Amino acid sequence: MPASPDSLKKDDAKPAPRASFAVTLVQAIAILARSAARTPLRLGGFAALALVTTWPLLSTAGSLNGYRDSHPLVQYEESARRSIVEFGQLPMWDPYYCGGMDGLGTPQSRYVSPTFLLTLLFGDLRAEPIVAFLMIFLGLEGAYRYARSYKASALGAAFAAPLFALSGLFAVAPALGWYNFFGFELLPWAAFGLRRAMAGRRWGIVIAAGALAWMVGFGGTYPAPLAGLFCAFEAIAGLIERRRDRSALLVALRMAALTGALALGLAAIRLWPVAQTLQMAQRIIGGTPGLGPTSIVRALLGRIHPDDRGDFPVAGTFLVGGFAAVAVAAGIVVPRARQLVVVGALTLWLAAGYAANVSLFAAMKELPFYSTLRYPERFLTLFALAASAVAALGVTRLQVFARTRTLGAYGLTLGVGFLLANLGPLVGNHYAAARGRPMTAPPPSLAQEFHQARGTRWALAYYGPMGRGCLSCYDAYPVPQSPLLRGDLEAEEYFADPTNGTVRRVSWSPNRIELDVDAARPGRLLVNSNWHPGWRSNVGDVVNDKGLLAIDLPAGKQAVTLRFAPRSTLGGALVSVAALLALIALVARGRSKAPPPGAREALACATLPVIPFALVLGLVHEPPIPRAELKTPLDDDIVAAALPPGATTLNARFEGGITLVAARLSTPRPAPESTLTVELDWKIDPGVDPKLGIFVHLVPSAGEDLRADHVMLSDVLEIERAPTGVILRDQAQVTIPYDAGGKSWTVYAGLWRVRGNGKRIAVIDQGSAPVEPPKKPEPNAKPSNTENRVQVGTFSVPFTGPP
Amino acid sequence: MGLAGPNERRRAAAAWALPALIVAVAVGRAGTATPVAGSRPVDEATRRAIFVSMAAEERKMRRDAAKDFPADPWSQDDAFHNLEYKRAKSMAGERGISIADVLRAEDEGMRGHWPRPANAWLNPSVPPCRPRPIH
Repeated sequence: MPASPDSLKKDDAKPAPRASFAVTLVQAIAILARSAARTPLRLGGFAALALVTTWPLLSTAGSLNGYRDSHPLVQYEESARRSIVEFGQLPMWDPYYCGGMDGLGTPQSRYVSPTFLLTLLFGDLRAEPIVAFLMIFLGLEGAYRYARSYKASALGAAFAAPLFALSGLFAVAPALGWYNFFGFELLPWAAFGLRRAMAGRRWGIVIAAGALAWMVGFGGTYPAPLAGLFCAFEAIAGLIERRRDRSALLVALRMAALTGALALGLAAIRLWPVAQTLQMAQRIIGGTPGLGPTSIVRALLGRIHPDDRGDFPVAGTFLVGGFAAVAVAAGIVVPRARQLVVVGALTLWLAAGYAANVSLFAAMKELPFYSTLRYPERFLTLFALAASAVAALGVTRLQVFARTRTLGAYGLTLGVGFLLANLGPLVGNHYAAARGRPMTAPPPSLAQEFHQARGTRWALAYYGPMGRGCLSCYDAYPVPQSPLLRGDLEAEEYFADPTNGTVRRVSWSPNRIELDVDAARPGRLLVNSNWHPGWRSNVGDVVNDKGLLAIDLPAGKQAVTLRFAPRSTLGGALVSVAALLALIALVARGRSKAPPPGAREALACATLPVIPFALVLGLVHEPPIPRAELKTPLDDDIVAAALPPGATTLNARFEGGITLVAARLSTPRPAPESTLTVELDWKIDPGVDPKLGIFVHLVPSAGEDLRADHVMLSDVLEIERAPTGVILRDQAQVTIPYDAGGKSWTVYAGLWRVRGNGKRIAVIDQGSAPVEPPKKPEPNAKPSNTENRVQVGTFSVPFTGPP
Repeated sequence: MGLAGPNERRRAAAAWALPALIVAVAVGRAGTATPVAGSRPVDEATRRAIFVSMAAEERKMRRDAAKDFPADPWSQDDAFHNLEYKRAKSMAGERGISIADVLRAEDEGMRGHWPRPANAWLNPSVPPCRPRPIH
């Protein structure tokens, strides 16, 4: 029978008479248990552990981690700091990357977080290690409280907390510059808050909504969505637990819904801009990533070893530690741990990704927002939290045994001792990861007028301090970026027709540009910056010129002020404030023992943030986000009434409702280093299979294949969104390699489930498509390489001399 | 349970001082750590020489990048920028200067239309970011 924490406390202090050594052990552990139960002592212990763990990071504060992923995240944070410190503006438009972007709308920026105060105080490079320290500290206390909410003893909860808060992801994150992964440290707070809320405690809503909103504000595309899923598990389990008590069930349901609504409201300052960005630039993630059982075991129990490139193979990257096995094993049999065990098993299943025979990860990706997640192994962080709570319950159970049995005392000593020993590998993992960082001198600052440089995003962090934007761009989504941006302009603001007059920059800051303009006639003024619907001007009309920010101005002398004031930021901020007021109202009304809010109060609180949302949506106008032009790379219309001249009819029909009607190559003899356009003309049926990709193989007479695989027709239109029953022109442009001369090439095309299981789509009718001659099977050739692909053309590259 | 006496309150305050002290140590350590030392900035003549070297190598780096990603303009360009970054790093190492100076020289040279080798081919633009759906 499980013991209550109270009985454990008494028991810890007064062990039953037995062998003296066992008594000594139990007494020693009782001292630890009493210390763990005292908040200041426990927090002191957790702070000391966080300090030891992050010491290598703290000792290198101020230097730049040269790893490639560190650059954009440092840039986002530093750009926000620069906006405030140098220009006295709220960080909204980030002009320093990709030609400019909405800083709040980019999913990876992390400055809507209390930790930004540290960045303001110390600069990002010194603040980062402090953030790591504080978040680990928070994670330890969060994991403790989460385990306590399952009625684990103070001793068990305290000693098991590092399994989560020091787990492998938090060792890898600073080494790779992924500081926004520290948002995961708030996961136990979100889950703990939700459990309290569902038990009818108002403060639970504040804790859960606050933690979830903080995670959103702290950025990254994994912590908040995965925490949302974990909380959904908690909510479902909590409802099942209360299924026989109708009134408790209704309260739990109401509180969970209110928590979700207020978390969304509180996070609106980030969610609205991010939603707008993703509306402008859809993130498409393909592939079939997965982890086999061996890899999962290595991730959870191995040791981190950075490779030569500074990357981390899977071992140890989600370390929980093998020494935790005794406590976890003891916990698994505790009835209260059943729900955690189920959650742990589900997260392992999710982490297996497509390597599982029946992939839960693949099923999860069918959910709207979760379709953009790429790496299933990150679910192991959720497993670490479940394992930590189970281990805490295991220690609790061993404490019960230790009350009455000598063997129990030894078991408890073993469980606690091993959890202590587990700190060695956990902390060691952080040190090993920290040693793998390529630390370099901080970027030097140079005070000069801002302009865009072509730059290289691989060294992004150097440009902002030099007063330069970097056009070379990468993020995990297709950042809306104009192809007209340039890194060699004499002036960043200029007339499209240079003879139209003069433009002089009066002042420049991220959110505001002031210009003196003298226009001989009405004309278009271009700014070397990306367009966004949030840009406004006091004169003329702001327009989108092929993605470039532009203003159509009247003739004459005028002082033009451009300012960035997007509706999403204003609306998001007001919704967040309204949600904050609702949370304050919830807890201000009663003290900690106040009853849970009734249906009317809950509805009022949940509705409050909707009011500013509706008002801003209705009253603040912005130009609509333009739809992508349905043009091919050669500026032809994608949707065509008839086949283009010179196309070879194929009529090859694929499973799932798509036909390759015809194909053509731009030339049969492309020169080395020239561009060959491969055009495929498709026709799709209503209800075509979604999430398909198009593969194009260019196979030479000798040497390696070239690939022109793509997901969207002409890189613009998803197959399932395309009109049916018409010709759809899909052009892929291929640069012929400089050393391709003297070879003949055959071009093949087909379809595969790029955002599914990765398998090819069967050709059910080859029509008039040439059939590939059968090949002799080669010993190491993949048997599927030539399956279900249609020959669409041939070409040869003339030999033009040695490259 | 009665009200806490002055001694108990002092003990409680002392207990809370422990985590506060440790947090202060962490902040202090980060605030006083010595960063990796940087190099002195170089003069314009050196930057011009750096620009010429980098410009001379761009064509070859772009050729190599195009071979890796023949049908993906953004990936081609990004692969070029990776090669460019590696070359900038090695050039900084060879000359004992900061990589920031190499990057600055490239920017100044491109914007200022500094003299460059006859066969140099510099692209001042970039194709829009289109991350690959599969890595």
